Amino acid sequence: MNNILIMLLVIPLVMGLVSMLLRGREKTKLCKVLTLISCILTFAFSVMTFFAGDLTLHIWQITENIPFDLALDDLSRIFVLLFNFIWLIVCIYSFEYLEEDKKQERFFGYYLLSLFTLNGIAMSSNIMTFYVFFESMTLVAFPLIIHNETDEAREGAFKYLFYSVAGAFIALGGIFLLVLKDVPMEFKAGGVGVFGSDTMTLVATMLILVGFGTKAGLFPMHAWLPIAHPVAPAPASAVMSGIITKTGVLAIIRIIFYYIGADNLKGTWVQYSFMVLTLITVFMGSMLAYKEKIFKKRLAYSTVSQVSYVLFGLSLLNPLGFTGAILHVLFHSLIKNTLFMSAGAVIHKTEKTEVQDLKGMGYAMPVTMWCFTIAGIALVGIPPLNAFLSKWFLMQGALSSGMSDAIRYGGPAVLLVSALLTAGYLVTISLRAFFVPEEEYRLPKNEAGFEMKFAQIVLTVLIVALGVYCTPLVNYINNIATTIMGGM
Amino acid sequence: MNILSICFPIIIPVVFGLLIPVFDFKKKLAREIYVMSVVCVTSVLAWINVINMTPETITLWSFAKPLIVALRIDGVSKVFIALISSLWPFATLYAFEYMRHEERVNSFFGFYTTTFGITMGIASSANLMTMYMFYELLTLVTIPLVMHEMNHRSIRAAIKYFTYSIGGAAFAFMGFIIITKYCGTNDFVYGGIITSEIMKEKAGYVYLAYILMFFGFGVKAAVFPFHGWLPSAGVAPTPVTALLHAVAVVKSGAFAIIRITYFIFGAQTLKGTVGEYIPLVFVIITIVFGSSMAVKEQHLKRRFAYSTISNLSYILFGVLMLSPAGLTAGLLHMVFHGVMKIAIFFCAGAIMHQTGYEYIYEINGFGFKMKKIFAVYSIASLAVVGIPPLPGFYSKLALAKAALENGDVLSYIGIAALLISALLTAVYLMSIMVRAYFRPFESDKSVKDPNAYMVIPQFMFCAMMIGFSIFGSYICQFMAEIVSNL
Repeated sequence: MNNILIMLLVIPLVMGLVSMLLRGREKTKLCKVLTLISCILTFAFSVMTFFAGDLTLHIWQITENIPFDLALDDLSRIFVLLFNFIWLIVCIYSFEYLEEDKKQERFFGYYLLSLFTLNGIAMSSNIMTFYVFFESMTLVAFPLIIHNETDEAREGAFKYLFYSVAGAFIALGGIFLLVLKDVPMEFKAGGVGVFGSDTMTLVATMLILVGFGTKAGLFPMHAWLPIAHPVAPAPASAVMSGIITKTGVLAIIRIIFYYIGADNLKGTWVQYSFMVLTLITVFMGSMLAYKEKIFKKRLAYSTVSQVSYVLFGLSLLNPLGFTGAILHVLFHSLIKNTLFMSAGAVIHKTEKTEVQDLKGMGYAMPVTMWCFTIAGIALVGIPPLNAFLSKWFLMQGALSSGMSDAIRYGGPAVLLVSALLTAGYLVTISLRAFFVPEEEYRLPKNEAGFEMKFAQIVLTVLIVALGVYCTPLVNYINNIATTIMGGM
Repeated sequence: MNILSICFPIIIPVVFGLLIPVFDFKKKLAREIYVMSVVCVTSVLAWINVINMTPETITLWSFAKPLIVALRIDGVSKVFIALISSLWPFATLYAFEYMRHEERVNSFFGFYTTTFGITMGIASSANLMTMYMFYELLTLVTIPLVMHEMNHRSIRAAIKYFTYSIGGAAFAFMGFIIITKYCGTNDFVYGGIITSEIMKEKAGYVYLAYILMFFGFGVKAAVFPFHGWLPSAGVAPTPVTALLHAVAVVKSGAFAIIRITYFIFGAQTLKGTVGEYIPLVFVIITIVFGSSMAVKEQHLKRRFAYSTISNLSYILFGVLMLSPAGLTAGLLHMVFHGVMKIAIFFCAGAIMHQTGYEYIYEINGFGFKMKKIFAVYSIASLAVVGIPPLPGFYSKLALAKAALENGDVLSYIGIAALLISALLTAVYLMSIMVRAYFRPFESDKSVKDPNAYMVIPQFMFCAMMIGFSIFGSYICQFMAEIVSNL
């Protein structure tokens, strides 16, 4: 069964390299077919991970005490499934979005390479392997951002590169401080058990949190995100916002719950400062999104805010908060991908990029705007759509944490204010798209093609379906939470 | 009772309502027959439930523990369901005529009918989760109705309505999570689910949760200072203002407050605490404020909207007396005011429909030109003022009795507020009658009664009012029985 792990890495790696070899040989169609096949295969393998049991795989020994290992545990399964599923859907979407594009081979090549690194991140079993994949992901995602080769794209991509590398080095600094003590590198549910709450560990943890938080758009290292995400082609923005930010989250989960141990951080200044940073980000992100006039940038700011919901859940260090956080990872991925794909469809068909240009778009692109509307309402947190549940668990987690009342009630209050702003910056777009004065804004019908509609509809259906019924998922995540935190 | 009979009144209007824009009826008659049959079938099923249903909880599905969607019809639900399902068919009939010259009629009736089902959902919810869900959905399906005209004014009004409602729901949500956290459940149980242990440890947070939820749900019930959306939303077509903004939507807010007050927190928990006093102060302010603003307002529908604001707080005042007598009085006023106010709004709608006039100073002498409409208006406004034996009298009497029984300072202030407000009500409603009957007709338009579509519903409401006044004491008794059987 170890084949599954190998296949999840090898298929996208090889196919990605092959697509890049096809460059300039007018084999676009072949390249598309290869990409689609490999996405379908990896998705199939990612589903199979759920039937495979816990696996480990030793690849090679970098130095004597730095192994390069993969493993499959409950947490990896969820992330692997999420990554591969979204990759497949967005792949279908991008066929239409990029149909006029001259450099599709390059795009799809790096697209698959990114999937390779993502699968590696999800399945790394020790901190060094994780770091290697994390860094390589930064690099292979760079061409996706710069793809359009405009001035803004170059600027955004370099900003992304600078911040990501800086963040990774801050994190690496923290990791060095930790491994100085000659400790095991493997992740272990509940922590490796050699760390205490000494100052050295805490400082190192804080560095790692801020460092990996960069990818997740955590204040104060968030500034690249709203610049870099919107300049990429829509499929790339979608996966950047929906998925790649989540690798930062995964890194933080691995560090807190699988390496340091949540108990060691409980009640320390690290927990408080991390939590305050997440709350600042939640509020600031939605406030900036509310003010923003450019459609995709608004969505990017929304990502800043929403990913910090997840981080807030993690910072609570209790099972309810953890459950809420993982649920929000999944749900926000579905929602944000839908939103970006809708924005992309609008740009692809009408080249309108500002929010105020979207007036009357509901008549021109009904399917796209309905998907956008449902996803937007879901993100606000209205039952029975999915994000209601994740927010519910986050707030229950906040209320049951053993912290001071200011946090226990202040945290949920910030989340609620942010939810209101979310309603303000997303639902108003839908209202203006559908309800505009007669004659003035009646646009001719100009709906997206089959692939774009298909991708959006699939995700929207999932948004509704998971909102209505997700007890198995909640139980599954609850299990993880109890393994890593005991009966806390 | 089986699961289907409780679900049908919710599902039928939602599904068949949302199908209307899909069918996209081209013929007026086909659409009218379709809409009317959906509404009538729903009303009949709802009435069967009112008569037959025993209060049993039916669980539909579970999001995750303890978030469960479950339905139950008890006495309070029955009162609300009976009110809504009696008014809806007539309001629909009226809307057919009113919307004759409008555009996008299919989508209008689609959302109009869907709202019926959602309101039924609020009435039959068995726990806070279900009610909260339907409450949010109610906001979403009614926005297109407010926006129907699609000019800048109505869009601004709809966005205002949306902001207020979603903001209120967020407050309510905050209380909701606090309660679920401490109680581990959120089912509606008469007498409340807050145990004495929780009160010992967390009394402060329980009161906080109540105040948050009161004002959160109070947004839809237009409690001062969150009333601003209601007068603005008057830009909607009159069937919407009349049915939704005088009955269905605003009374859902009041109904939600009844639910949380008596079925989540329990009267005993709140009695004589800050959790009672703060809402009560705002309710009393709203009663006087609403009536005073109505006196000042010269726009017909906005004047009635302010009147609604004031009257909704009558209901809440009864609810906040935290006694069976108070709840009875609140429910009575909910039913009576529903019928009276929809009749008054429909009169305003008829005037606008026939002449296009919207302001009070434009209707001089109309009383003898639109005889039927103004006859209905006169009866309805005398009823709202509370002239015996018209129905408003019974409910106000019950309110005053409940307040006297309660007997603390705020209750006496409340009684004074009710009296002042009744006086102001007389001023703002009767002055329109005076203009219509005792000033010379001076318009250059031809003014006459509308056709049967509009008059029949009006006469039905009139008949209901007269029925209420004849059987007033029985109804009061009946309502008291319902409350004592909870």
